[in-house]
Amino acid sequence: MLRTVDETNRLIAQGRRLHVAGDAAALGKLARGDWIGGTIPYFLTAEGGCVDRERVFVTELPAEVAAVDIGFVAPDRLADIPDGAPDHGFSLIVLPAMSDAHAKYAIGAHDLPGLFETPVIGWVAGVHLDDLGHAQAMAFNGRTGEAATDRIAVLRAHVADQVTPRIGIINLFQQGDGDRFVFPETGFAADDCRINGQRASFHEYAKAREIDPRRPLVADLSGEMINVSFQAIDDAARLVRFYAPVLAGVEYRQAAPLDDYRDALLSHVAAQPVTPAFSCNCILNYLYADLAGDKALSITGPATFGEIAYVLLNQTLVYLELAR
Amino acid sequence: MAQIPPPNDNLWVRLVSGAVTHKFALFAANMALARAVRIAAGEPARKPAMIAELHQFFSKFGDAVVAELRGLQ
Repeated sequence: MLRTVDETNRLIAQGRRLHVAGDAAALGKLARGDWIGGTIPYFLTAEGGCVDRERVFVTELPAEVAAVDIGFVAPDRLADIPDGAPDHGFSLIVLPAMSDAHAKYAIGAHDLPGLFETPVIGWVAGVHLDDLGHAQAMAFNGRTGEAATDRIAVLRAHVADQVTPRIGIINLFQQGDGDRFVFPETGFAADDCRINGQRASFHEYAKAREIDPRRPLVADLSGEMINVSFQAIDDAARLVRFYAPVLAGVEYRQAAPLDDYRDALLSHVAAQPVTPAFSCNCILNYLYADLAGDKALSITGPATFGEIAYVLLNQTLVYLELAR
Repeated sequence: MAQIPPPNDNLWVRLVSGAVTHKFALFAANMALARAVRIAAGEPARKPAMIAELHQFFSKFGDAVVAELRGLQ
């Protein structure tokens, strides 16, 4: 829930274990303690979607979390995330958007040995959309008070044996029945590809078809629909840019259209009667579903520049449950 | 802990080669399987390593996945 800096500092002083999202200035006023956080001023709250630069969104980790370790992981040491994972628990991570850490995790996480053995949930910190290009996203280590633009904040949570951490995903999208795209390289931008088996320019295709950017590319990874959202068609570079990397050799299709984006999101969330220990939602869902001021979403959290459910996701809501 | 098929069971070869497809209830299982299939397809020499890794993963989550694995044998 949204709290003032003073309210949050009182929780920190009580030794509560927190995840905090907010504007950089507000996060910078928080006391040292057991918390990690990241920058973003967009939130989905019980009162509706909003932009708030004064208050911060606080998620208090529940009593099932027995202990936490907090630190930063550098982008050239991504293996520290699975290697340092708790024996029984989960890792909560925050990556600064548009950083080396963001790019390397997005591309490298799929190939990190052991990554999928312990839940890793988190998000990509961002900035106010008006500040794009002149403000930097940051991740915070509450124990030291450090803010980083190029490292990943990691909270490793140890939970009791009878508790099972479980990650859930709400994704509005399924693969459509249109053309099939396979890219030769993993990356956040692409042109060269195969479309239905024939070599082609994805940039030319996207321009000619005037593709709807609200419908992401979707890969079917052993039955899981994994979205890659469109960022821009870059005519100067003759590339299509994405908010997450397309994976080399994986087949994508553009998502099937939704009758109504907003209704689809509301109904998907309503169908998941969960009480998450942590949750966040994509800022593209916030924007495309026009959630500002809406009161209907029951799963709250920051609206993010990317969601982490082990790997980087786009246009999803991710949550963590601690089941007994 | 439930007993999953041993590493030399042909099921692992069929899973990693993509000959058997299945959506597990566990999200992480699907992601681990997709990773193994993708790597083995791109680098066939790594297929044994992917089988070993996948077996290790499923061993950790034995109780949650054993029934589904047995259904695929």
